[in-house]
Amino acid sequence: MTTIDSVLQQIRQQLNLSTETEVEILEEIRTHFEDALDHGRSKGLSDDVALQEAAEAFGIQLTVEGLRNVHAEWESADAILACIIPTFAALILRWLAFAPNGSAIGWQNWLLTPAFWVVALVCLLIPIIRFNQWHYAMVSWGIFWFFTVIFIALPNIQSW
Amino acid sequence: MNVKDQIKKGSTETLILALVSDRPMYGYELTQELKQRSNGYFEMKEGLLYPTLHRMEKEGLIKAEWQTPESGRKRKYYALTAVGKEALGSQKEEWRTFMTQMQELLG
Repeated sequence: MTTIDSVLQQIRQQLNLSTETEVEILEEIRTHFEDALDHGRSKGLSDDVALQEAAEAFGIQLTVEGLRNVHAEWESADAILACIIPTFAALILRWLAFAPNGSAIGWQNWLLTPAFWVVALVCLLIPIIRFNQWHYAMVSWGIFWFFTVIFIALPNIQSW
Repeated sequence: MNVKDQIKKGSTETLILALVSDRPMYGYELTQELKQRSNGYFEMKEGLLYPTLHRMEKEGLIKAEWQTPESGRKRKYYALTAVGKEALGSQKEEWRTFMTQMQELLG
């Protein structure tokens, strides 16, 4: 027996997109099928027949291919941008915080300045606002901290 | 693909823009509204609808918002943006020119 959940499961298996995108797409498709099911019922069809008709009209394969193309392309562009933001921010901090000779004198004080945390928060918030995806924000923040730690640690290691 | 299907495919974006210019609509509503307003001529392939809607949203032609009415289920409504309004205007103009030229050629 075909159910909305089984149709959605079939779609999900083929989407291969980020979890957040998939969840949103599937939620939208679920309401589409629920509406189609209501429409079928109002015409006197059984749930099974109504859902089968809805699935045929929907064209699962065509929808999946179309959605995958649209989102995969944008997700790649978003991912690149999500990496550029923290890298750029970390570079600015490095330029602001380090002495011209590359030494990281007083970097501990740097962590206490509000400006540092403003930049760090910007690196966290921009991906959330721009992409509405938590995992992009976390990756972005991870990159920011990675470069920040590298920039602090590297000159100190070299000076040893 | 026959001529009718090609014309329909080429007009999908314009039709969506025209429909959501009246009021925000959700996917299923768009398909039903289109069928009803065109007396069944434009029966939008649903498999084409959602990828087109999502692409148009990414391009800023429409914006999507989840809404839960007082009675009813939560749905994703699509509304026209300023960019979409401008695009609709130029696409309407393009279609008018196309139709005029076709009529002149076909007699």
